[in-house]
Amino acid sequence: MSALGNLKLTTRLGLLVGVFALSFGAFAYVAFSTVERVRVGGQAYAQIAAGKELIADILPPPAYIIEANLLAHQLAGETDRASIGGLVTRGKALKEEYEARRGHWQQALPEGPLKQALVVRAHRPAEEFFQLRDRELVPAVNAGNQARAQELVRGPLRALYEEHRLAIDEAVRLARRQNEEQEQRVGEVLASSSQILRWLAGSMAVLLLVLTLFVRDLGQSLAKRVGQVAADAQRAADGDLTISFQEQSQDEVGQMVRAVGQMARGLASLVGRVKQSSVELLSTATQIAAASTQQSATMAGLGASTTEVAAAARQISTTGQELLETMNQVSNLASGASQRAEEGRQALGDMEQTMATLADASSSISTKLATIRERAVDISGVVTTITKVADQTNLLSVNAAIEAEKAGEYGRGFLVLAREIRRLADQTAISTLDIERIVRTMQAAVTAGVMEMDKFSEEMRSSRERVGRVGRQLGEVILQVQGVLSRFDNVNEGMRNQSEGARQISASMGQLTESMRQMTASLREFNNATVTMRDAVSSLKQEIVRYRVAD
Amino acid sequence: MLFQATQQSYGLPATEVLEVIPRVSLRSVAGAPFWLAGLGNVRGQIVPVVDLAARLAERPAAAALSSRIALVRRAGPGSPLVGLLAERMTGTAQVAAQQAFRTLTLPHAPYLGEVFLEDGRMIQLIRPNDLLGEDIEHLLFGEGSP
Repeated sequence: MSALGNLKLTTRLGLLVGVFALSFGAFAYVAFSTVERVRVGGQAYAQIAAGKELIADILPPPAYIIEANLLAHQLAGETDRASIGGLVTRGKALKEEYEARRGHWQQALPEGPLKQALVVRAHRPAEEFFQLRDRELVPAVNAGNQARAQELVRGPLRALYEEHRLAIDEAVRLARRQNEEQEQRVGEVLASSSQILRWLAGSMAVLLLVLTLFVRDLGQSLAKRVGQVAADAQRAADGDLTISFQEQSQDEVGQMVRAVGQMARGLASLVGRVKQSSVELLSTATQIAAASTQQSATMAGLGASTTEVAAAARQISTTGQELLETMNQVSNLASGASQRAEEGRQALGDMEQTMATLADASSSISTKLATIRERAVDISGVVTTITKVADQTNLLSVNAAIEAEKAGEYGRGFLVLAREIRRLADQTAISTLDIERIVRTMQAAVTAGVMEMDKFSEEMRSSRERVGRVGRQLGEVILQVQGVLSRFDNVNEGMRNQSEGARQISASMGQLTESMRQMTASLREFNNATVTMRDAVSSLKQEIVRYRVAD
Repeated sequence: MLFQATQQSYGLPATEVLEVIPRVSLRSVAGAPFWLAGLGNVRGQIVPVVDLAARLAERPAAAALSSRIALVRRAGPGSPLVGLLAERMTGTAQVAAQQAFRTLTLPHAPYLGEVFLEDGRMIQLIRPNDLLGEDIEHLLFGEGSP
């Protein structure tokens, strides 16, 4: 096939024509030889005819009742019972065979003298023969009437047989003549067939010539168009995708050219897209390379960060341990503080009691001060009375002095007396004034004292409340501190967990760093791959540049 | 007889004073000059009372226990009594006439008399008759006055 595929189209078409001519020649030869072989009187015909004649010569003819006649004679001379039965059965078979053959010929033969002779004229005596045999001969034989049987055989049965034989002879004669006519006719027909075949061969040769010319023309035209397409396609393959494949023809070549044109256009658009894409791809590859480089740097930074994180985690772990110790100390301090607070609360309770006592004392002092104030008021009343008395005394002494003045020399002594009385009254008044002043001072002091006392009581009460409140708060503080102590245990536990967690983080960070290193290596490979890809894209671009595309 | 008006000490001649009484409740007189303290009931007798503090120092006498009323009788026996209200009317003093110092005689204040020295204090004598001038006489006692 490959050897055939390399041949040119015209050569192939020439080959086709040659093969066709050879085939036709072979066919003509076979046809001629066959016709020659099977013609009447020819080799095959003679063999068939000979076969038929052989059978006809050997077998007793069923349509001819010669065997039935023989059987009748045999029957007539037979006396053995068993033999008679076999002969009767055989006779019946012969009759059926005759009927079958007659039916066949009645169907097969065309209307004519042959059919008349075989089916009508030969039949009537045969029919009668069989009837007579079955009605009279067979009963006679069965009855053992030999004479009657012989008479029948030699008399009417023989006459019928003779009549039948004559009709058959006639039919044979007719058939022979008909065959001869037929053979002659067929021979003529076959002779004319040979003539026709010769004619046919001649016209075939002409046809072959025309075909050869047509094929050569077609081949050249096809070769030209296909060659054009091939050249265009070659140009397209070389990269010129601007060629327009114009073809108006609707035949296969036209379809092919259009298909190639469509393909070229598709290729052009594809190349255009590829060009565009390759530019984008190149920029993308560059970006990817830059990004991967950046990522590599970031990775390195991340690695450093991870190392820092690991260090920080280790530090956290250490700090957690320290914190744990500190927590223990704090816990001890807190339990100490709780104890102190308890003591403080008890001290506060004592203080509250003392303050209550103090408040009672202060209220009794207040009561006493009130009594003092009342007494001072009494003193004031007395002093007023004394003052009034002194005033009256003074008035009296003044009037006495006036009277003594009026009495002149006689009242001189009385005047002195009056003056003494007035002096006493004055002294009394002065003393009274002193007392009054002292009492007033005392009253002011007592009032101030009462006020101070009230203030003191007030402060005492509020202090007491405050102390109570402080005591309660202290109690709460103690409770809270105790709660805190219990919580410190949790915190301690948490601290331990945190420390453990930090250690685990540190370990994980180590693994992460390792992963980071691997990842950095992968990134480097990726970077290399990116560079390779960029190179590939560049080469692709160069490849694509080869193609010229209409814009 | 001594009394005080403001910071100054004054005196009344004892011979003209009938009696010194405590300050009684006074009934004020509507429309009267401010130095007329009011009318007082002295042993069933209605007596006009002149406020010396208002008259001399132009302020009313304080309602103290030592503010007292000196009853004087104007121009001879049988004539109506007049009360003189003054502060610190609590003492007497005996002075000699030759120790008197005659001060200025003011036409609108003829009642101011001689000034004496007593225990280092200057005491000016008030003349009750001159104190109660004509217009006061007229005002207090109406017609028939000398």
